[in-house]
Amino acid sequence: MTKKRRIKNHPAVDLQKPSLVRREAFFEEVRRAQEAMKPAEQFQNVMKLLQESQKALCEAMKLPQQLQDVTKQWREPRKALREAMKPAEQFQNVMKLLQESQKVLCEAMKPPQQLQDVTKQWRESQKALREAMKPAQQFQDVLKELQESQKALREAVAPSQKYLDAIQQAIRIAGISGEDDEV
Amino acid sequence: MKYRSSDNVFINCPFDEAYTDMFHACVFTVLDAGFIPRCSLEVDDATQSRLSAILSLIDHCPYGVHDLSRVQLDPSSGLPRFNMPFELGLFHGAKYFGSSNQKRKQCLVLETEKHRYQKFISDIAGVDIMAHDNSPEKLILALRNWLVTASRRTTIPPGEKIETRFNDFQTRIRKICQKEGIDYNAMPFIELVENMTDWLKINQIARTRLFNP
Repeated sequence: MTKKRRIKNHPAVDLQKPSLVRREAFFEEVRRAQEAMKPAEQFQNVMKLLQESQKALCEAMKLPQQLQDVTKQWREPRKALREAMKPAEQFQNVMKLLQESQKVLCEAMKPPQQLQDVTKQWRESQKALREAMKPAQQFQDVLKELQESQKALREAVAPSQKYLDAIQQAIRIAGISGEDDEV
Repeated sequence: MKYRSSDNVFINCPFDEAYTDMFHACVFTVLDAGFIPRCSLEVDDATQSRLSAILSLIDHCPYGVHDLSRVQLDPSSGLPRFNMPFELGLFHGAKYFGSSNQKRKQCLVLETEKHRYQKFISDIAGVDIMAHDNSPEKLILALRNWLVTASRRTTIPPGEKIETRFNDFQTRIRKICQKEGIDYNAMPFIELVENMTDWLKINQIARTRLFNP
């Protein structure tokens, strides 16, 4: 157990009057307290400076009146534009609905399976017909060639008109009466 | 604060300038041990004779410290000073002739050398006298050890501690006196006690008991 020793007071000592030691100790404590308070004071000064600088910054950050008006003017059309864009948004919604309905309609418009089969068969028959028409086409080509060749033959066999004219002329010249003779 | 006579220690020692350090060490030791130093220097009553004041002090002090080391002749008068042996005699008389309370008185006799007193005051031969060799440190140790033995108190600090604190006090008070322009060596007894008391209170130390009762 720790026990403090009690220092007794002399009966002749005036306790109301501070001694040199007590007075000096008191002033020392006051000085120490003042020293201890200095950081708080410094902190307060720093805080004060910070507040003043913040205030100055806010003042500097305040937009001038003209710029405020311009900003206001810029904001109002934007607001109007947003209002105007609202129907477009509605239109988009309608379009979307329409597309969905079309899709549904297409789905509904798709031919049934039987009709698809018939269509398929018809297509195949068309194809087969074309295939079958191909020889006819060839025959026509051959016929055409034949006709052309016949024509060429006739032309080749038939004397030319110039030759005939020349013969006639020759006959005339020769004095051969042959008006009644046919060539 | 209530005046308790059981704490009073009568200090009977020289008051000359050469003995100042020893006197201050003695007063400081008594205060640091938890007692109250009393001496004839505190008497300032012109209506009361010095002798009656000393007798009153002896009456109220169960403890007494008597330093007989000043047996040299006074340079100015060429005669020895007898106050210390006289007051020692008064103390012994009170103890012998007094009431039961007075019979409990205890005293410490100090000298420069241990057996020198036998040459000039052989009546007290056989009394255990402590020698301080004119050293404040030895005085502090001797006085402290005697107070422990005489009072049986367990709160008295070690002698080395008292010595260290006395040196600290001296340094402190001298600095203050220099700053205030006061002569420390000429400081009145009551003012000295006042400063010592305040310093000890401000610089309290805690004593730890070895065993709890």
